[in-house]
Amino acid sequence: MTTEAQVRPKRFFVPDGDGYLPKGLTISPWRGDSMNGVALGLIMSHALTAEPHYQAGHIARFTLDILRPAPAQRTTVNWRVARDGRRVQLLEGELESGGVVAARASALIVAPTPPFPEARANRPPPIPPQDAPERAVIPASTGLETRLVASRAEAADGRQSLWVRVSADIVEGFPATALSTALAAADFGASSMREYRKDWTSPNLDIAAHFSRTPRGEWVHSSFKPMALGSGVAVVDHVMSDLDGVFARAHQTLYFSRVKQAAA
Amino acid sequence: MRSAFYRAEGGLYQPLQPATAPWTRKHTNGTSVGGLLTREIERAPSDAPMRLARVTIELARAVPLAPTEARARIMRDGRRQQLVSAELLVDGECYATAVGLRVDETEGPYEDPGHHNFPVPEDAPRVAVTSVLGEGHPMQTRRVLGARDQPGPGAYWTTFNADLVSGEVASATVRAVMSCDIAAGVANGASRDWSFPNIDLSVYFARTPAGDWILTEADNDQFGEGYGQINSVLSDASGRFGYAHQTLLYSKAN
Repeated sequence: MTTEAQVRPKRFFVPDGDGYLPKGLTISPWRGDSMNGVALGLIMSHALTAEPHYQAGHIARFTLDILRPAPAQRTTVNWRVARDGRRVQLLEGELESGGVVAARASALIVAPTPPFPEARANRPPPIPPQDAPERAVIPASTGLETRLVASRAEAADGRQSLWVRVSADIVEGFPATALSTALAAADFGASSMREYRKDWTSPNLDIAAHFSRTPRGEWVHSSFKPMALGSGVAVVDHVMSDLDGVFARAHQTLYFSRVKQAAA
Repeated sequence: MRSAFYRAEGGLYQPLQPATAPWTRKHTNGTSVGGLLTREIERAPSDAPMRLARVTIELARAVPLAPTEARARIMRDGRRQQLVSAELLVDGECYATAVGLRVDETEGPYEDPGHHNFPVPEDAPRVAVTSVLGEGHPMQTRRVLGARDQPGPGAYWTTFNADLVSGEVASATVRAVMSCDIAAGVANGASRDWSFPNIDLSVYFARTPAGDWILTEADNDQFGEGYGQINSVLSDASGRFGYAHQTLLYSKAN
């Protein structure tokens, strides 16, 4: 008999000295020898949360640039302080795998001092995850649990919306934080370009999230829509929420190639 | 001679009167800093024609109003994409940095991005975003929604009656970056009891803007943790073309 614990994917990475070994969940669906973008965001944000500057402040911006396919080999992540200040710090990170720098990231950390102005009104997404239809965007075997609230065709405003939860540990024994889940949820932009898949591939070159408060909880909701103007890239606009309401805006730059070109 | 924000002199950029910060007069304003950094990224060499897809500008440290050196470095080069960093130095010390993602000029699917419902700039009232940008200022703005002391959404048109660097026409991309830097003037998240400098500016381009005027439609997310975001949608005369975000850090005004 197979138990849930046996079929449920457990972790994206396992620790290996000062680095990590990628497991099956990290494998790109397009290139079997490379890691997927979700795994890159997860491991870079996981490493960031161990930084003292991150722990002492709030994340205001996280930008991930995917420089090249990241070999699914031993991976190291190094963050350094690029700007140190009393209220604002800038951290820069590099992900290296298989001997190449495959991704870079920056994190803007703020440490505001009270008093703070009164919060503007906020509201949670209309349908909480427990009431959302159990329509998955990707299989749960990816380590991500997804609940599609509305496809672009179903939504009056043309914005696709879904809830995302990272069900597997990022590193064995370390479950995803709300920051990591937000980055994973912001990686779904290409799913809004499904109708063009016959003619175009559209991998994302980056993920950037701009935070207006600290995200909370296991589930993150993203409502998103691409701005595609015939120029070779689309900018996907994500509005990110948790159970308490909006906490960030995020973008991905999708790069288009003709399917024939991509195959050549 | 047309007015300018900077004059190029002996490999440095001398900030001129329009580049002066309104608060201290000893520093360069963020609009000029963002423009000069973006220009430097656009000037980076490339094998094929490239256009800016994203620029992220760090503005946490004030740049002295003094001869400024601008440098760019290619962090990742490629035929299709390029990642370029830029920095501004005064007396050898770095005060502001930026990272730009550039992509080659190709094709892709098109979807109607929707259009704003504001009057075109020629028909908009001659009301500036702030008093600093009054009649005669080289950065000409026309506010069509919102006000400095009303938390909530706002919108304004911007055009420039000045060069960024004297004698050189600034690209529409540079002018778009400079335009949205002042969005806090119409879409702040708190009353006048608070000060809220923006410590960064990120701009995303789904296409290269065109024309003289840029429309910034801005709103503010501020949820009581002492920081927040201004979220802007950018348009030119042809329609929407991008987004911008600024992190605001709030403190009680003196």
